[in-house]
Amino acid sequence: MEFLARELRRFITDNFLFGDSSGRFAFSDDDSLQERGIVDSTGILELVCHLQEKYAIRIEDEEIVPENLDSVARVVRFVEHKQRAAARDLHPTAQARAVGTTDLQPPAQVCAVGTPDLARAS
Amino acid sequence: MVGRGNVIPHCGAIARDVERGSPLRRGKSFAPFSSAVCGIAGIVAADRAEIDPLWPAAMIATLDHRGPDDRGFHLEPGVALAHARLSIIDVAGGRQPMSTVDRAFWITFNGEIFNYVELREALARKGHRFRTQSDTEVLLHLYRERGADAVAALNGQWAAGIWDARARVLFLSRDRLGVRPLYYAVVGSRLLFASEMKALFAVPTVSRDLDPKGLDNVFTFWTTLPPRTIFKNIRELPPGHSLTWRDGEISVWPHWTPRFPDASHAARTHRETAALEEELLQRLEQATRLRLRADVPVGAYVSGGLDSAVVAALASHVNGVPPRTFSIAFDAADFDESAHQRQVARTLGTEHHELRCSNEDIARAFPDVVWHAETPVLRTAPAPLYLLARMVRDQGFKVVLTGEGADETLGGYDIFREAKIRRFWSRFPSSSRRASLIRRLYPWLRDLHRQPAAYLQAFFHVGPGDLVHPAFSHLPRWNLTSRLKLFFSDQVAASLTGYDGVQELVDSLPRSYGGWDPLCQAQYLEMAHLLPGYILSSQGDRMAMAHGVESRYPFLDPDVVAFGSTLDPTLKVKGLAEKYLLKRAARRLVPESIVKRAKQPYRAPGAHAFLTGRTAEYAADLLSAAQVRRDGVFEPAAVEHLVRKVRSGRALGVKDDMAFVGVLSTQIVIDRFVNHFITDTHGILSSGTSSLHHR
Repeated sequence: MEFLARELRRFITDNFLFGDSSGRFAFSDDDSLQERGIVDSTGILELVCHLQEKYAIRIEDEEIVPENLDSVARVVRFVEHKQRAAARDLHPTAQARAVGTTDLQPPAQVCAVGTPDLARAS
Repeated sequence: MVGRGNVIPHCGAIARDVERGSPLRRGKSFAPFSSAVCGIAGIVAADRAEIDPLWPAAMIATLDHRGPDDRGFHLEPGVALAHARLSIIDVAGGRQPMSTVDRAFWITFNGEIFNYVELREALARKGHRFRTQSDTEVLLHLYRERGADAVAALNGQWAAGIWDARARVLFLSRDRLGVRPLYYAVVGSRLLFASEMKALFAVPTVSRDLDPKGLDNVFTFWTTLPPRTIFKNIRELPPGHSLTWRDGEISVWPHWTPRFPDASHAARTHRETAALEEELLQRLEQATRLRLRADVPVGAYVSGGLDSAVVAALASHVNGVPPRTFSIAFDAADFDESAHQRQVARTLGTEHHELRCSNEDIARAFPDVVWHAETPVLRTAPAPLYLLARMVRDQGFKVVLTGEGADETLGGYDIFREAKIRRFWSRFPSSSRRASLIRRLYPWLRDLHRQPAAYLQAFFHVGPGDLVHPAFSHLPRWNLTSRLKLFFSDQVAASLTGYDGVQELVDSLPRSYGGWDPLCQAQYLEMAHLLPGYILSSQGDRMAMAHGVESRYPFLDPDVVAFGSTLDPTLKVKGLAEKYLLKRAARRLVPESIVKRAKQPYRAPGAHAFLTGRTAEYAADLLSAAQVRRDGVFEPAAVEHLVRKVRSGRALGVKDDMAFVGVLSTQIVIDRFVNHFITDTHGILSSGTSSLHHR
């Protein structure tokens, strides 16, 4: 779990806090990523894409809810649950694929998300 | 040497020749009109101290793009006024700086007074005698007649400096909604003013240090809160404000602010919708008619949306011939509206010119765009407008009508409807329709439709206290943009400790604001901030005037604005239908498909435009860790991460895209204004000051 949590923290820090080398935006494993303004509706699909690619899991639309994804601790629990479920369902040899990119990669445009645009003109 | 007390009308004069007729006069008679596409500058000194003549010359030389043909100066002890003019036709009226016959009052003026014909007649009846046909002279006489109150009578877009030589008072004024820019700086006992900040920087003693609070404002509101600018020592004269300077004492006050009726006021406009439609059309027609007063052809921008189509249709109706129309097309389908633009042009029968804009075009133009905008921008949207103005100018047009202002005055913006939905959510938090309502609001934003409902709702979440917040409508946008401040360096972040830009804005709201309808409150926030600070400047005056093109805005006519302000909110946004009354009225003017078309804001390709191909070089240099570290505004490691993310080629979210454009444009501001600001004083002395002779 610690490995997974560390990797997730690194992904979140690099991708949403752009490294945060100053440490001004440090967050704990239990902090709400939404309430801290770290991940919003724009970022959540980036996180989902990352999880699918990195951990070879498929995340259904109805699973993209704060209960599963709104803190590092929740994401860790969710990913571990998904991996266990996948391992149960798959042929034993498939367990070896539990880590690493696979053919489950979603199309790139899945990550093309946007919140309402502020640009306005006639 | 520069003559003291002399006007040096190096500039040519302004167009005016009714009898010979311009292309637009076919079938119609037009009043003579002086089109004052100009830049202004000046210096006053409390102690009547000598003013180095190089200073006004250097200042006005930086504004050549606003008036490339001629420069004029007025110098007397302790006073220098300067003017850059675009000669349209060389007629002997309208030279600037201009004085009254007795030389008691002097003016340097940028803009248009559209109702100058009527004002002139009224002044003439009172005994005023005019030497020219220009609107500039009318304003000068009006000021002599009424003093600072003169501006209340103006229907126009102006930035003006008037020197009362007897009282030794300088009067500065800016139009109601901030179409024309005006900045000032105080250096010792001197006040300097100019159309653009770069003119102030031409005086070496004016500091070019950035103001962290100005940056904080831009990375929250997309614009600074006036009078603050992004430069510590430069002040903007806010829209609808006037200023007087007397012996070093400065007084600034609003001559106009957006006002709305109290929500409980029984006298709100509730007349028959049909009658209101008629009145709106009449007011718009008159506003357009006034803005067609020109001695040069007037073109029209067509965006593919309703507002610009209405303006072009009214121009066609008033003139009896369709205006030439201009539009921007993009290769990227997400941004392109050319099919709708062509439909408008076909329907109106205009000769239409289309600028096709590529990513590379945007990236190549962007440094010049920022130079003219004089502020960081979070969108590339100004760049295509910069290129469009160049095309307009190349086609021989110097004046265009545009549709800006309709969304603010008549209730067109998505943010108005979004606020309605969020209020609905707060009352019915368990409604299952919440996400679908938001998706209905933004049919053009395809990416949004893929977002998970739970997170979409979270973005538009109404938190405790939000409902009673005076800026309820705008908080989600400001909060989103504020997240870009994570790129600020520790030093900048530390200097902002304790500063709250949103609170500063709230503290500046009019006393009556709390009694207005929520829609009117949101309209006010748009009209007082984003409209002047971004739409009319970074996307408006600055891009058009970079090529000596003047934009005119019928929807911002004071009579139209007043009509929109008092209109019942349900006739602006009815249910979730935006610009309800305008759409009803527009059916008589433009195709039904344009009226019914879902609103799509004007946008342009963003971050990915910069990091591909040859144009990437300057962006890579300015965003390098070494340069970012030297400049000190942003955290180098954070910018490196961002650049890497953009370079990866993956689709970017709105926030990342804004971050990239915002960081890059800030780095360009630093590069062009702070690190390498160049004034060609030798060139000025050898060319521009050829006019600085005794006459």
